[in-house]
This record gives sequence, structure tokens and C-alpha cells, in this order.
Amino acid sequence: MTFVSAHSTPAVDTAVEHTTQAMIAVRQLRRTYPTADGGEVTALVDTDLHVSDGEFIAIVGPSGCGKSTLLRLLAGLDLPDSGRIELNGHMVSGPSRDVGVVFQNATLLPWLTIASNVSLPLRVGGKQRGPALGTEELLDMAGLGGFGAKYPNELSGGMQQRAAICRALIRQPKVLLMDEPFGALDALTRERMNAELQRIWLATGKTIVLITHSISEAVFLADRVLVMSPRPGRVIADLTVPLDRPRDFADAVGHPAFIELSHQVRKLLNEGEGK
Amino acid sequence: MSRIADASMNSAPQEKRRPNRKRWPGRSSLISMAGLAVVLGGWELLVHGTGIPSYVLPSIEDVVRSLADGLLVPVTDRSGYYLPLWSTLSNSAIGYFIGGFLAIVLGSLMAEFRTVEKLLMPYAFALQSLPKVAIAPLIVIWCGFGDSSKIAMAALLTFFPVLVNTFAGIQSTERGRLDLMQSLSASRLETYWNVKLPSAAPYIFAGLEMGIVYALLGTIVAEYLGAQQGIGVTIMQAEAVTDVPTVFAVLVILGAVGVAMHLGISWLKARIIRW
Repeated sequence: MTFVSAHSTPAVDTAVEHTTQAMIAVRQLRRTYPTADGGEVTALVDTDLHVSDGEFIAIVGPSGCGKSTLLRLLAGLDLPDSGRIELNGHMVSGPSRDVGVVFQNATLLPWLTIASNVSLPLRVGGKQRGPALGTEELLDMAGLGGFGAKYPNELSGGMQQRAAICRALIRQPKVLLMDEPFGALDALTRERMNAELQRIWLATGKTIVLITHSISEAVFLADRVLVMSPRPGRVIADLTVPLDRPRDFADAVGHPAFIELSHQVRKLLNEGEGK
Repeated sequence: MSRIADASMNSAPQEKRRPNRKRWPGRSSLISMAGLAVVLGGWELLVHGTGIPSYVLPSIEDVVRSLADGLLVPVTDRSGYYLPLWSTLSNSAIGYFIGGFLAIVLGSLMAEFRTVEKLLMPYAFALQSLPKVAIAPLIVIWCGFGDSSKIAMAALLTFFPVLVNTFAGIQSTERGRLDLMQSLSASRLETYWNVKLPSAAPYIFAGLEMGIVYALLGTIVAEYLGAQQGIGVTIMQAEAVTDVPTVFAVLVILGAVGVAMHLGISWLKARIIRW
């Protein structure tokens, strides 16, 4: 695994400039879907988004607000009606090697071992092989060392989702997009997975966009929490989380800034619902 | 499982409370054996008590004698059952593999390409609803009285259940798995091999399980229409001289072979589909 290390003064300068550069820039995004009765429903309107390199942002919003639509657009799995998405300075027009996606369900292939599942991205998607991480190394990092030969149904939900994260990381993408990755887990496992994800993020320095409907998960993990309005969805608030890293879940939830921010997010969500 | 069973066996109070719950593994086979005994007993009563002529219903002893006559001979003996059985089974197997393979290929093409689906689906359904045994005389005219018409019938009868199941199985591939492959920029062929075909495997095996019985049926029908060898020919010859015990003996053998083939496919299925 490679880390950006600041061994001389010029390197620090470039690193600083690097972090201010936009990894993801979204402008005036709009996506509508045709309905069965011939009308159309607007999933996303006037959406702007700016994510710096190495930043961890969380997007929260009521269900059906277009969070998942936004993520699919960022992943290049869907195309917008209008507006533009830039990723690392390039227009997004389809799936990219720079992006790893973690889906709601782990979507591991049940007929492959965990190791084969994790290395699947290296076996598909064209022969232009980019830099890749070792499967064993990744599994070790995610606390799945020794589970490579197991099959997905032999692992717990949390372990399966960790394997899915490994799979998303193996091509060394710059951006990790996560669509409610821990939604199916019980509360305690979820907290552990949050701590785990923070650790992985600190170790790899990826840019992460996390879609979630858990306010505490968003505030605990993210540098910034973006709140979306109900359909048609757009970003109505952009809140910076002032907590130091690494964060400890038990400590963080008691922190005044955490409580204040969670309250703020909840109020914004409730106001949106009341409209 | 077995540990739990052991535990409840050892706990005496539970056993006292529910004495009827005690079961042993041979129980269900005992029940089917009892059923068989009733049927055989009824058969004997019918034969010896009502004076039904033996060319309508032979006695069990006659059938057993015919079985012994045909089975307790050298494998290469021309009067034995082994040569015709080998002829029928090998032709069924060849037809089964040809029909099954073509069905998986065509079913896949139909599921993958709308044009192929539009082109073939109406005819596939028309041919499917046609009683295929009715085509048998035509096949014999085209392919002659040799092995090729038997192979063709076996292939034809295997083809449809496998085709329909392959098509349905590939079409019902989970959306999330397709999203995953799309996010990895996997090609159509990569998605087919890595996700769609394995996802469809349980469906395809259901078709193959049906197909194996049909393959045998197809071969025997072709043999009835005029062939030099095969178990169908043995039945026809026995019928011509009203040797009904032999007809029964062959039917017993066919029943056993059918069960064995079904078990074989189920075993293969369990080996391949472990998820």
C-alpha cells in the first residue's frame, strides 16, 4: 500500500494544493424518470456538490430523496438529464477505474470464495491493468485475514460488507462511493463497522462519499454532512463536523459538537418532511 | 444439527414427555417399503384370486423370472437386457448432451440479445406446445432407423425444458449483481460468464433434471417406430409374442434407470451449486 508521505518541504506544498483540488465537482445536476402513466418524476434537481481529494462526506436525506440516484450518477451507472459531473478533472460519462462502489447489500457472488470475490475487479473490465493491491493484504487490513478461502454464506453480514469494501478498494480507486453500506446490520455491528471504516479511510486516504439515513453514522464518520431535501432532491445544507480524528464512537456521541450537529441535521430533515 | 439431536436424545425428561417424537432414520423408507408390500400383495391376490390371464397381468414370479433371465447372463449375451439397455442409454446420453448444450447456448443468446429473442421466441413456444412425440415419425423419415433418429429425439425432448429454464434464469439475474459488473466496466461476455451464467445455474439444473427423463422417453419412442436395437425394441418384440412378463421386467429396469439418472443429476447439482 502506498501512502503520501511528506518527506520534504516541496512535497508538503503539493500535498496542501492536492487537498484543495476538487476530486468530485457536480454542477446543476438534474435527473428525471418517466412514470408508468406517461408523466415524469424529478428525482434530482439543481444539485451541486464539491468534494476535495481525501475528504469524507456523508449525504443524508429522507428516503426517496434521490440520494441513491446521486450515487448512481457519480458512479457512472446512470446519466443525468442535464448538468455535469467531474471526477478528478474528467467528465463522468460511464463507470471509471477511479471509482469503487460499495452497494447496499454486499452483493458478493455466492459461488466465489471471499478471496475470489475481492479480486473479481482484477479479472474483468478490460486488459488495461492499473495498480492493484494484494488480496491477502486487503483482507488483513479489513480484519478478514484467514477468511479468504471461505464462502460468503459462511460469513456474518458485517464481514460480508467488509469484504465488499475490500473489493471496491482493490483497483486502488481515488474515490469510494458507498450506498447505505451498513443499513442491513444491527446497531452494534454497525457501530463497529463505522469505526472500521474510519480506520480504513485513515489508512488509505481515499475520497469517500457515504450515503446513509443514519444521522449518527453521518456525523461520526464525515468531515462534512450534506443534507438533502425530499423529492425533488437537492442539497439544502452543508455542515462541517468539527471533531478531531481518529474519533471514538462512545466519546463522539457525548461530545457537545456531535450532539449539536446531530440536532441540526435532524431539524433540517424534519423541516423538509413538514413541507 | 446432530449435536442438538444428541442433546435431546440424552435428556430423559424430554423423552418421557414426548415419547411419540422419537424417530429413527429408516422410518420413511419403512413406510414406502410397506406401501410396496401392499401393492405387491394386492397384485398377487388379483392374479391368483381372480383368474386374470397371465398375458394381461403376469404373476410376480414370472416377472422376477424374466428379470433374472435377462440380467443373470453375460453382459454381451444377445438374449440379455444389457446390450439393448446400453444402446438406449448411450443414445439417450448423446442426445441429452447435444440437446442440453444447444439449449443452454440458444437460451443464453435469447436472453442476451433482444433480436435473437424476437426471432426465436415465438417459434420456440409454438414448438414447445406441439406434442413432440408426434414429430417422431418425421424424424425417423429424416434420420432413418439407426441411432441418429434416437439421438435426435432425445435431443429434441431435452432441448425445450433446458432452453426455457436457461432463458428464465439469465433474465432473473439480480439487479445488484449487474450493477456491480457495470461499475467494474465489465464487458458483456465477462458479465455473462462471471455473473449471469452462474446465477442461472439453479434454473438450468432444474431444466436438466426434467430433460434427463425426456431424453430416455424420446429414445424409446424412436425405438418403437422401428429400430434394430434398444430397450424399446425389446419391449416391442416381447409384446409381439405376448411375453408380458418380459414387458414388465423391462419396465422395472427402466424405472430403476430413471431413478438412478435423476439421482445422478441431483448429485451433480449438489456438487456444483453449493450456495
